[in-house]
Amino acid sequence: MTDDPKGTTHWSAGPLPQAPEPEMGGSAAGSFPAGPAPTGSSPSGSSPSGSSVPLREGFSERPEERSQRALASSEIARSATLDSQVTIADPMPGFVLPADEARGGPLHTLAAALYATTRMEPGAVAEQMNQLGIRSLGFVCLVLGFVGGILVYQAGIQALRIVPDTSTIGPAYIEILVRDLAASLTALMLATRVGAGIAAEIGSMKVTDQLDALRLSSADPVVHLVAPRLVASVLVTPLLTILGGAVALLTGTLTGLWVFDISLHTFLDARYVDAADLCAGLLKSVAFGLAIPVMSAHAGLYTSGGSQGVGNATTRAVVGSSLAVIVLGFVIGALVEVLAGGAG
Amino acid sequence: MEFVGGIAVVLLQALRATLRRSLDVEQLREGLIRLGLHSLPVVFGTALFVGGIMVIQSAPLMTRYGAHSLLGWGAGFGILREIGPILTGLMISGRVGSNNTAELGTLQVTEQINGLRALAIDPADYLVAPRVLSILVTTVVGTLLSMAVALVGAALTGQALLGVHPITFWNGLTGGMLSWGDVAHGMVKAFVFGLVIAGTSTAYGLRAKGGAPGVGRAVNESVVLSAVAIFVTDALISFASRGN
Amino acid sequence: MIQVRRLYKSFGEPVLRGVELNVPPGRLVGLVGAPASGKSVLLRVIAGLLEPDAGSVKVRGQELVGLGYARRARLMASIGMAFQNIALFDHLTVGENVAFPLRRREKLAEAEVQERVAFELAAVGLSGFEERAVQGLSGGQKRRVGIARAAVTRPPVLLYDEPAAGLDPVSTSRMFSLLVEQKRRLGSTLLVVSSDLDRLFEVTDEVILLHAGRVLCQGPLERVLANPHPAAREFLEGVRAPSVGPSPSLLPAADRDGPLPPGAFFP
Repeated sequence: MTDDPKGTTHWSAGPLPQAPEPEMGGSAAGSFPAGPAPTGSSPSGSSPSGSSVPLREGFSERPEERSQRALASSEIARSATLDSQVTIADPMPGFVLPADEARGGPLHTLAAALYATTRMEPGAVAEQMNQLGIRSLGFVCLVLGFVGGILVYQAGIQALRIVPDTSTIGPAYIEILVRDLAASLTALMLATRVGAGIAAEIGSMKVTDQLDALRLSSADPVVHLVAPRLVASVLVTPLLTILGGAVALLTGTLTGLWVFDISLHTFLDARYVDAADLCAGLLKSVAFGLAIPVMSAHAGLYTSGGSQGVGNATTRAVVGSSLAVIVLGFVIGALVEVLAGGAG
Repeated sequence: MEFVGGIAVVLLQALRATLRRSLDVEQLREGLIRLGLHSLPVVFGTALFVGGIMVIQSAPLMTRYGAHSLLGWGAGFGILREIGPILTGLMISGRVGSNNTAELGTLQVTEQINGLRALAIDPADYLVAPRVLSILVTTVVGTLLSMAVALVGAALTGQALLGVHPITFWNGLTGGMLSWGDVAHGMVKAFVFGLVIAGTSTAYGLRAKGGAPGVGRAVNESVVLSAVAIFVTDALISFASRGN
Repeated sequence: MIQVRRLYKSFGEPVLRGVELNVPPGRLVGLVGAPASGKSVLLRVIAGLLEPDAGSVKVRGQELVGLGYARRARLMASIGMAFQNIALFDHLTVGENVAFPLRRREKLAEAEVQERVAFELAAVGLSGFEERAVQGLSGGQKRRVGIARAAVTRPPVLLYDEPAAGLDPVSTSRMFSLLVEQKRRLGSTLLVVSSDLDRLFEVTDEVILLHAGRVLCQGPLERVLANPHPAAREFLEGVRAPSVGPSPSLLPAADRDGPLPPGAFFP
């Protein structure tokens, strides 16, 4: 006996099974109601209320009918579309994400998630922000701290190769941090940390049928899982970017101070930073914050096939989010450059 | 510590199998194709955009000094020494490393690795060594090629966005301030990143447990730790080499 | 209660090939068939989880196929389902798992929610398990929690996919008694897929026999058992005559992990 004895002994034995009651047994003596489907109201308007379903004689198949059943699959499909006249509307995104076929792309998921934000439960976003922030804060700070140090070090060595002037390193570093580096590096880290996490989580739920269980508990997976992560990410990513940028600035300043003897006053000079840089940085961090959960949740929602499937979904999430970050970084950077260049 | 130990064990197993020539050649060939060749498109796509980003980010410096000839140097420097190896490493970790963890994790949770042992096939020869070698080769070759692709991307963006002619770009690149030493610096990094990615992803895959969620967790942890390890070793190499 | 007409669904190759069936209200109907005959897919289509390629599914007189978001959600709220691979939410406790659909579907006072959860858990013999973590349960206990979660909202339609798989013999017979009890107590319509034909046939009012994506026959047990179709004979006799090899209930349930991963690790 595999079960806990406590469980089985307390199990109240229900009434013993009995034969079917006669008054119920007679009603549907095993044959289909012939002719058109019973006149249930069909509010969707797409059901074949008018089309007569050809009567099938009885339910037991006679041998000679069997050849009929050996229809080729294409014929079956064709006859199905011909005589059932049911047009299947594209299911609403989210509630029935086509579980069996990858019909929608990431944009489909994005649209579904944005629509789903209107139905979120209170508190869900706060919880996700908490998780997302706590999970990735240390990671982002660690990596950006290291990168800040390396970049100033490399830049200083290069600058000394050309001109023995280290006074522009600080301002140039701060500018590049604001306009790109803080946002892009933070997002790349989130793409691995958060992206892989979201895909593994949703993907595991998908292959263990938990998403279907959610649907049957009147909880739309997109509303319940994707939308809170999306909103949390859009809100938290800029904050993490600012924090990570601050850490990178700190380590960069310290590297400048200790290795190249650049004074704090010379290094911490934001004279190159203008509105365009700030806009570019902010725009990027919001766009990345949107792209990462969408790419990852998409990979998770369309997971198929057991543990290998979950692994593949996680891979797709990391690659997809990282690619999205890099491509979006390029596009936004180029846009701002062209617009600001045109204005200036 | 446990993390470093797991990687060391995996790398030593791979080294021993390679030196004894007991590794499965068929698996190595397949690994090179599946893990290596098939991930090149993603790596190249990344590299193209990374080159573009490098140019966009060095644009203000160039326009400020009016020194278009420096663009090739500025972008090339970043691509060859820092950003190129790091971003290629991150992409390979995301694509190849996590794929490797997923496959090994699946084999582990479905007890197929024990099945191999039951068939008297040493997993070190059959799984570990071919995969580690494939990933190492993929990272080194992928980084070298993606440097070239990134430079092309940089040149194209420079022309489209800043009006810098590719020849000017090329002259800035080869004008004497960059040398093959910078390429070598990048390749050393790529080699180390390859070891890190191969070791981490294999160790975490072999350690997965607990069904499909377990595989997801393993992949998650492996990519995160690879990323951290890439940045940390990058910093160490950069500081150790003192700009040479 | 459930009417299915000319239902087609294919995943590359056809799985459901024109299913027609009718589940009258308040009955306990068994859905049986050889492995891979489309039982689970059919159940999922009826539950509104899969969109069929063509056909019509009416639940409580309302067409489910092609239904829009809000109406589909409302209709699915009248269905409870227990899944073949159980699908408990592993980040929640046992009690929260059972309470989850209740909290989503009905606005009840917390005390009432706890009362209903305790009742359903007691019905499956897991009294006092509310605070347990899902991971700590045995397979059979998880399956019983799944049944409690499906029934806690007292839905008019209950779909059970292998409710007794993995249960020990005592729990199995209690599970089938529970199905009858639920039919009485809730007045629900039950559609039950099970490989344990002997036990299932003891409690069903009607039986639907699925073969290769079509309904071979539907009706009271005696009529189905007397069906002359060769496939029906093969299935029913192979299962019910103990001398003819192992019964399908001993065979592993359909493997959802799919084929081996690419890479052909085994020579």
